[in-house]
Amino acid sequence: MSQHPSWTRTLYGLTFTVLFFTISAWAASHIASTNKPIGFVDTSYEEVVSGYVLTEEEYLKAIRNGPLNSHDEEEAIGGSTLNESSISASSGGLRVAVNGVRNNKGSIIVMVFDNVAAYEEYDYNRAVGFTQIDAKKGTVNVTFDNLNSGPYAIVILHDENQDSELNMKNGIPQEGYGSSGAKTAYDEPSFEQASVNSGKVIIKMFYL
Amino acid sequence: MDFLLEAQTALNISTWADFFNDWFLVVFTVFLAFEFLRYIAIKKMSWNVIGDTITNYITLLAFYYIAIITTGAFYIASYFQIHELAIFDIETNWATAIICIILADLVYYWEHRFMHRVNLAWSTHTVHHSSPYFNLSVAYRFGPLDGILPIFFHMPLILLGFHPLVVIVAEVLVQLYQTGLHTEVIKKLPRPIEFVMNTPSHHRVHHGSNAKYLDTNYGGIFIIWDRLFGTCVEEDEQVVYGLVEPINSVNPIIVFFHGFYRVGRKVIRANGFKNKLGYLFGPPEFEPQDVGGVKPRSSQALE
Repeated sequence: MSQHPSWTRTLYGLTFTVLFFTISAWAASHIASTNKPIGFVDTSYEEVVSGYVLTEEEYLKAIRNGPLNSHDEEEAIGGSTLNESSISASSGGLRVAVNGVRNNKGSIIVMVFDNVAAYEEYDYNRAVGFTQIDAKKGTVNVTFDNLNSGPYAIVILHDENQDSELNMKNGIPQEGYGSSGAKTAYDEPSFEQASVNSGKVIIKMFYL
Repeated sequence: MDFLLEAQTALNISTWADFFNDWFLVVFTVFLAFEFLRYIAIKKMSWNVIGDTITNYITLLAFYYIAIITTGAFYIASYFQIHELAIFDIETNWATAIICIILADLVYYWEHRFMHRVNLAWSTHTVHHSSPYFNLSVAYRFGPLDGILPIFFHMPLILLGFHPLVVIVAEVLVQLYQTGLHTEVIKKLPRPIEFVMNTPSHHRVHHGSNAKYLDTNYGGIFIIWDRLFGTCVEEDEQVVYGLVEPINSVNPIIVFFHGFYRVGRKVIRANGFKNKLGYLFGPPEFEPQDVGGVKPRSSQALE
């Protein structure tokens, strides 16, 4: 070429390149959906876990491990470290606010457990608190006046079709679900992690 | 559009790249046959063209062996090692893979420009430019160390946080796109395309040894980088393919190693360390000051 770019032009070019790289990579680090396929494991280092066809046991096991990438997800506030009642147990009962209900269909079921076994089996027969109220989009409030101590672990369900069950398809929940202490849709907190004392508790309803 | 943001495994993305890679090979072989029919039709067919084509595929095999089989493990391992130091946490999905491809294309611009303007790198890249013909088989004409340089130039992408396999996929796709550009059959495309994308026309100019065509149009997928950085030239006169000093051979050994031979000979014969360095790291036209300095290059006699 009769006229090569001058050193200045080249320097400008390189500077542009470095800036373009940095801004693009920064943007890319924020490009991710909050939805992940169930049972997702980044397989660069491990064997491919394909598809979404899992049994309920496999699903529960997979979500226990959670995604490898961390993102700024909305936080469900629950668990004994985060609510007001950890400061002092009150006598106002257990006041549960269920956030993020997606529609008005069916009912919201709230189950409160005070022992590990019942909590892990979601056995509402052994729940110390149980209520079922009409779903309302946005936030639904439930109070258990008689629950004044703790620790309690709370499980919530958005039963849209009123069959009293969390419906699944191919191992993926089709309805809303959540529990105290769960920060993401894939958390399955232990009783200890989910534990709250009486007072005000905010729990997020997750949908996949 | 949401599927672009769904988390993907890097393995999934690389599987798609492999799929395209394999199918392109099939399509291009058919297209090459068509180009040969054209040679016959315009009476340019000769044993030399056939020999040149066979040699192209031989260099492909040699390059493949050196770059992938010998150094492949090191390639991938070094990427994963450096990835530990990533600055950003970038999720692997189709959207970020596309961004990675665009960045890899920008990387390739600089890598390609480096290969033309620094003798050390030119010694391997000259193999690709040494054919006097221009058909799809020339796309597969590779030099001995063509696969090594990309490792270093793409490290920044790893450091920025893109997944190693996705970066490799991006490199492959940037090369794959260019494969289709090595033809005389496709004339200039509509202006908007010619403005943004690299095209057969742009790439013919890049392969030209005409004075005004030398060291231009370095782009991989996009020509926009050349426009930005001042190295873009439009095709207006007939392109003369090959090197400024042709090698006039279809012998695969000569073709594959002539770059090393020429640069090596200059370096060894140079007087003084400074001149040796000049030949090694200077541009192809470099000549020591006491011999008259840089001479302008062209395959055409200067008036």
